[in-house]
Amino acid sequence: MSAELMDTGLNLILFAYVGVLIWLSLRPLP
Amino acid sequence: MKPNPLLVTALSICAGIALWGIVDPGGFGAIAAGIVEIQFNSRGWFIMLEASSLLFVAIYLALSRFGSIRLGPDGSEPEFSTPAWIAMLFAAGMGVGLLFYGVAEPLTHFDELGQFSDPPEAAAYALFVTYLNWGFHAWAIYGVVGLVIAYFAFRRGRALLLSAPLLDSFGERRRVRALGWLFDLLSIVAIAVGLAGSLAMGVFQIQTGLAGLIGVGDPGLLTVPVFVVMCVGFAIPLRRDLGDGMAKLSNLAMLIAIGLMVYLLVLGPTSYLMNTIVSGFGRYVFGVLPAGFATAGFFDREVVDWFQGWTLNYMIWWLAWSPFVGVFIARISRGRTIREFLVGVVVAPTIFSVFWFGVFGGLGFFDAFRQDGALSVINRENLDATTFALLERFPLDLVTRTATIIAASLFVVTSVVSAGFTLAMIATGGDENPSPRVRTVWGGILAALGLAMIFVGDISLVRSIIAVSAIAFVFIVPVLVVCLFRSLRRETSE
Repeated sequence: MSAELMDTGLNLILFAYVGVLIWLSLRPLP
Repeated sequence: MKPNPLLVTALSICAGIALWGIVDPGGFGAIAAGIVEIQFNSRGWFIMLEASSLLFVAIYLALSRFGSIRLGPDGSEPEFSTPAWIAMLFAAGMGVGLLFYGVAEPLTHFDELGQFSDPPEAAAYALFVTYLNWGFHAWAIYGVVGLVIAYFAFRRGRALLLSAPLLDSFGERRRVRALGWLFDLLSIVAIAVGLAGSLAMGVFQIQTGLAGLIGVGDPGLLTVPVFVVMCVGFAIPLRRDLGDGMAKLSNLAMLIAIGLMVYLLVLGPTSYLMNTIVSGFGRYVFGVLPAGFATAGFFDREVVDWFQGWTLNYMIWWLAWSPFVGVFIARISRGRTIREFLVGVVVAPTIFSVFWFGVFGGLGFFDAFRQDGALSVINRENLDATTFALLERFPLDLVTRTATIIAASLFVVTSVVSAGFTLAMIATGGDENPSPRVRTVWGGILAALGLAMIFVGDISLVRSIIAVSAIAFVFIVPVLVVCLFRSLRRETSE
């Protein structure tokens, strides 16, 4: 159970990271 | 002199890792292996996706309108002639790894895959996987990181640092500066640990070769002398500037390695080896893109372990070394266009790998199919010994084995010296001529980390340790790519 939780947690971090990347690329140029 | 916080922090972290590895090598290796297993199990898909995406980024940039942008002011000329530049790219890609794995890696895959398919198919796939691990993906990772460093240094006038793209794209704000500082710190740790791993691998191979040559039964007895000689070898050039002496030594190592390959190709079963190279190349070129997305998800534990221990580990390994190799290839590429840069960096060294593993792997398969298969047995027992066992089957083996030991030593010494320079440069905030004192301190740290890796003793654990040090790069490299695209867009919209 805890291994599955950790797996889900690690992957959620990845999804959030991909979200941040997309957000950074879409920000207007300075 | 004002203490530099980046230098002090980086030195403390690296010294701490080295101390831990020396005091408790068993625990150190086990923890690294545990972290890597968790990472690989839950994030393997992301690492493969990233490596493949970087290959597509390289292809896109080379083909798009951005390809004609120069890595320098408009109208600037390349610093080196194209043949000299390609020779230097080969030198960047060569190293003790090729000497170590040339025959050992294809044979190991052949052994593993032979349990699931018939031998000819296993051999073909073994070579394919070796090409996948050492080919376009590896060089796309190096190429894209090198391109980011070169673009921001030569076109935007920044330092040769990983923090430069961030500061340039998102402004010199406090949060951005803090993140940039962290990028530089993490690149130092990854370079130091990666190079120390390479040092340990070199020592393992040199001691095995030397033990065979001078008739010492236990190669372990030679660890200390070999290690000390290596340390003296890189301490001298770190203390004083030898001008282009290091470049000459690195060229000598490269010539020895190429000479060895040609010697084996000519004296070995030449047509058999050419058959291996041509069929392996065709299979690789037409299968490389889908294979880059493979994650071995549907297979049982043994295949998954094999995949994680090799392909996934290699992709992390290339990420670990990307700041080091990236700085090197950036430095020699001032004035080239993005298109030239990417085609040169991704294609030329890959072709070399195709020949190299085709010859060495082909000789391994020749032994398995047409001779007694003794090489596979040796390979199963001790990866360090495979290259030397192969050379023993050819005439003048005393000469070739000695040459291999010399080349391995030169590769180790020149790459540690180069790493000492790069680490000192990053840690001093981009000073391109760091003081001998800082360089020597880094040489000492690399030696201590190398000693820790030697104490860990097991090559697969050493690979896990390198992988842990590089995990941060899985996250850093995509940010660098975003920075690059933002700046390219800004430049072309102006």
